[in-house]
Amino acid sequence: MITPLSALQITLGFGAGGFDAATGEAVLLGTFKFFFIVGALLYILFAFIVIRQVHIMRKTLITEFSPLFTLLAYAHFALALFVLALYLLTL
Amino acid sequence: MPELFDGSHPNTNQPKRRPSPDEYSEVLRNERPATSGFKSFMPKPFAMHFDTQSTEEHILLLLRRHPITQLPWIITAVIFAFLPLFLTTLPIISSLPGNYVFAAVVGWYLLLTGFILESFLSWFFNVYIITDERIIDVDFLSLIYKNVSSAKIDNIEDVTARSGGALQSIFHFGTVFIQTAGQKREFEFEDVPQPEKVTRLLNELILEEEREKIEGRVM
Repeated sequence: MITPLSALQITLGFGAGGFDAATGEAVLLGTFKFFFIVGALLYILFAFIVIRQVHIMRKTLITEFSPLFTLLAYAHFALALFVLALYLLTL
Repeated sequence: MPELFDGSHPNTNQPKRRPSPDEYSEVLRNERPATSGFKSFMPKPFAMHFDTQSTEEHILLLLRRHPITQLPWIITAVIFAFLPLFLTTLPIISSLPGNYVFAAVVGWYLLLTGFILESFLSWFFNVYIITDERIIDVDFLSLIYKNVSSAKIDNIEDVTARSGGALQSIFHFGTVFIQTAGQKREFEFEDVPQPEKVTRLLNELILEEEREKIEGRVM
């Protein structure tokens, strides 16, 4: 049975010129893994900028909720790190 | 003894006491101080300051965009939250190994978290402030771009409130245009609740500034 993934492999030429289907799948999943990890790294950079932004925002407008926003920004950053770790360990 | 040398008379040259905003502003007199920090119309806000505020300066009104204007990103977030339920049933996704599908779903919700956080922070910190001295427009346009403009009340030349369309009429919000003689010629308080009250307050403040000049009150 041809699955959409194997159809994609056939379209990309895996199994035709030296690559067998298993190698093709490994290369494809490796490419996905690469993009997942690069995406997670870029997201960590974004989460770090959010921390800096919240710092600037809470200096500009001082409210009683300022510590809550800082906490949220750090929690968001921690979540981004967790997702990167998850990608590295499970993919 | 001539009256000029009589010490029993009060000294009229002493600086007059500056009246509290409630004394000269009918708008503020009729409003109760805002206790919640998450409102979009906050008269005399409690425990709220801004970085360039001077010690003698008081925030009279803090404004944000009306909450209804935030509905587009809230609806988008709700739709995006349910999207993986449908996307994971697509053959191209479901044929991937389970751990890859899980990774994609986790990544999707992480992006959604970032989107919600950014949108909320943008609403909360993009504020318009009216103090007894100035008007201030605080803009955070993107992640790293901050713009704070201010103009003194006595530099205000013209105040116009504009409200139109079904949504603005139903939910009672609009834009207040403030022409000034300062470096920034026009301030726009966009989509703020009760624009006519904001206009009335600004007019009361302009009148009070003129009164101060006439009476020569020391600031």
